[in-house]
Amino acid sequence: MSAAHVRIVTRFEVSRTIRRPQFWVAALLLPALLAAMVIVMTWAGTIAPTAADPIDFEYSDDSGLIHEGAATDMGGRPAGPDAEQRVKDGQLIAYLHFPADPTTEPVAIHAVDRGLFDNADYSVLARALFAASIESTLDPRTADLVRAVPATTIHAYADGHRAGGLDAMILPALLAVLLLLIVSLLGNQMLNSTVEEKENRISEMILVSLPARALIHGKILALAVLGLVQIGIVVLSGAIIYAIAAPGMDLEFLGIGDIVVDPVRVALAIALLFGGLLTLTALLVLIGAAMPSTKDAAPFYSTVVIVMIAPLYFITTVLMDPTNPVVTVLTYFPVTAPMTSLLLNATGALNPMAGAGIAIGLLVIGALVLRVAVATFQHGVIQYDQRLRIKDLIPHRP
Amino acid sequence: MRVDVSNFRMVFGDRVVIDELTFAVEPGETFGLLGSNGSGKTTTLRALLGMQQPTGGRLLVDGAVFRPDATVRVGYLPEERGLYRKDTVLDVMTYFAEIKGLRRKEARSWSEAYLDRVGLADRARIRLDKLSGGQQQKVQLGVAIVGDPGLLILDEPAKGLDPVNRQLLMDVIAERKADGATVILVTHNMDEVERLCDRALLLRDGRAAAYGTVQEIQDAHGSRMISVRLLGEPPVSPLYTVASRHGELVRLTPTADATDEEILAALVTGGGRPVGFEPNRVSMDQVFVRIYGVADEEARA
Repeated sequence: MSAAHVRIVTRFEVSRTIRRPQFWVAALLLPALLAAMVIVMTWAGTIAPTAADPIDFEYSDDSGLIHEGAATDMGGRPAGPDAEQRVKDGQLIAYLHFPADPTTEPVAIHAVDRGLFDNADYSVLARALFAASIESTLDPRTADLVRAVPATTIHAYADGHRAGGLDAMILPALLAVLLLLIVSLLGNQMLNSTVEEKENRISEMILVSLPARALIHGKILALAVLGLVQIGIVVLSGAIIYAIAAPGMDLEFLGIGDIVVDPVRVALAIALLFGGLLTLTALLVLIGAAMPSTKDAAPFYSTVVIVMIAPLYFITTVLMDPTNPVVTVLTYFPVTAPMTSLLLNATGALNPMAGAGIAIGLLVIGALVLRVAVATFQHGVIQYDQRLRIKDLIPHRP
Repeated sequence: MRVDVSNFRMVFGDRVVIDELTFAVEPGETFGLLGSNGSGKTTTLRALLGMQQPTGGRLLVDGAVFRPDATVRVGYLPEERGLYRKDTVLDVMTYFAEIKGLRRKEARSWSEAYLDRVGLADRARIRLDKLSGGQQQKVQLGVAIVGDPGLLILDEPAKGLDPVNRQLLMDVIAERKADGATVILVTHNMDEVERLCDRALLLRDGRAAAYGTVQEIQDAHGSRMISVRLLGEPPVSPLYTVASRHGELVRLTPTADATDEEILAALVTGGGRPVGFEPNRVSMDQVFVRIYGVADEEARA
């Protein structure tokens, strides 16, 4: 196999792909969605009320704990006669009854229906009135301490060094997102890379001048280049959107400070990403090589992609209970391993040695599957209308 | 380039497609690989080009098993053929030319020159799927001959061609032949075989039913006659016998080894004074029908 052949194939595949509108639509879809979300969030921020509309309510208090001033401040007053009936008649919005012992009995709330979710506002109101009444009996400093839980700073250590915490999770987690992004954007192309020649009856014409391995390697290299271009587009667009929108947005709630680079976790994430991509690409190329058309290959492609992202369905278990047997299976099964191990690595729950083993395993499996894919392509290349059977790959000598 | 096939055997499952097939194609000759549908022609070509692993035997191009490489110049127009339909004509041609070892610039200029020659210069930047079927076939032929292949293999090249494209194909074959290229032609058109091929192999059930020069095949599968008009008496010669005579018109039955040229010379030197000489051979079409007719009868029996 000559490097020149691989280079020619790579250049051809890259240039023909980037000239297609679909490539740019796929690449710009995510940034466009991101931009739309930012616009919607900004717009929603401008129209959202700064404070909830006060609720006109009456209350009765058997506990003796409710402070009348606090109730007045919140729009309430002691209950008049037939408060409950007036609520039913729609003349009063809410009537709250605080029992003698609120620690054992619930506060009874009679209120006009505002819908499933907004009805929760009445409970919030009752609790807020109760809290405000208690606070009014305390001195201001004690009230502040009761109101605001003291902030905490965690100093966690691993192997004698300060652990990065959430900030060290960002880069490895981004690589997990990257895996998802690449498979979403380029998965179809991985599949088509080998189906196209068969579907369009090109294989015989091309394989007389070019070894199958050079063709497939060239196509995979082209996919890598196209993946980098698409990631570059997404990252650049994201950076531009962030630069424009960040000043007007409150991102403090994310709790992210400065990004901390944990070299071991980042290196492991890169190795896992690379191994995972190789395995998935090889699998999709193999499917394409064995199937006569994109239509025939589509169900298998969908299955592989669904299995690949299966760890996301179990993300709570993966993140909160990494020793769960389900997570162990997902970590070591080749198709689910890339996503699971990337997530575990991001949270620091993946032992670096085990992670390195998984990455090496993925690279080896990817290389082996790729070899099988090349052999399958070579043997299946002239079976234009039928699927390749496994026995076709085995040399037959009667 | 020379092609040697010896004891080639191909078995698919329980079905023997090719059975102990042996033949050679000499450098510079145009060789017809003939046979009915399913007789194993395409399988032979695919095995020769390394696309199918033979069950047995050896298939060599210039003394070696074929491997796709830029240094071995083989042009192949397969029976099942297509190109990258969503790409432009020039890009596709340039790509194939580069794969065949031409530098990018050369590949581009060769492609442009070819497209100009076949009247597609104005379609160079059009997507292939926007071309008509005939135009696409011209591009496919260009892709097969780019890089001046020393061995050109054409599997049913005239299938679906209009007379203009058919003439283009004939010209291309003639050019390649003039350049010393070896041409293997798979066709069902026996006129083409008689016109173009030096030698031929006729496959039946995976075996060689006829093999040799076109004349040898014709002579082996039909009684050979020569019609001559003589002003004198037909001279006696060991090269022929006189089958009939009606005035000046004489029909001769040549002996097996006698060539047309030798018989004509014998008539002249023997004082026959020939004024007309017309060899009557069975046509390749008739040879084909006779061979497959026998096969059909055998199958029915």
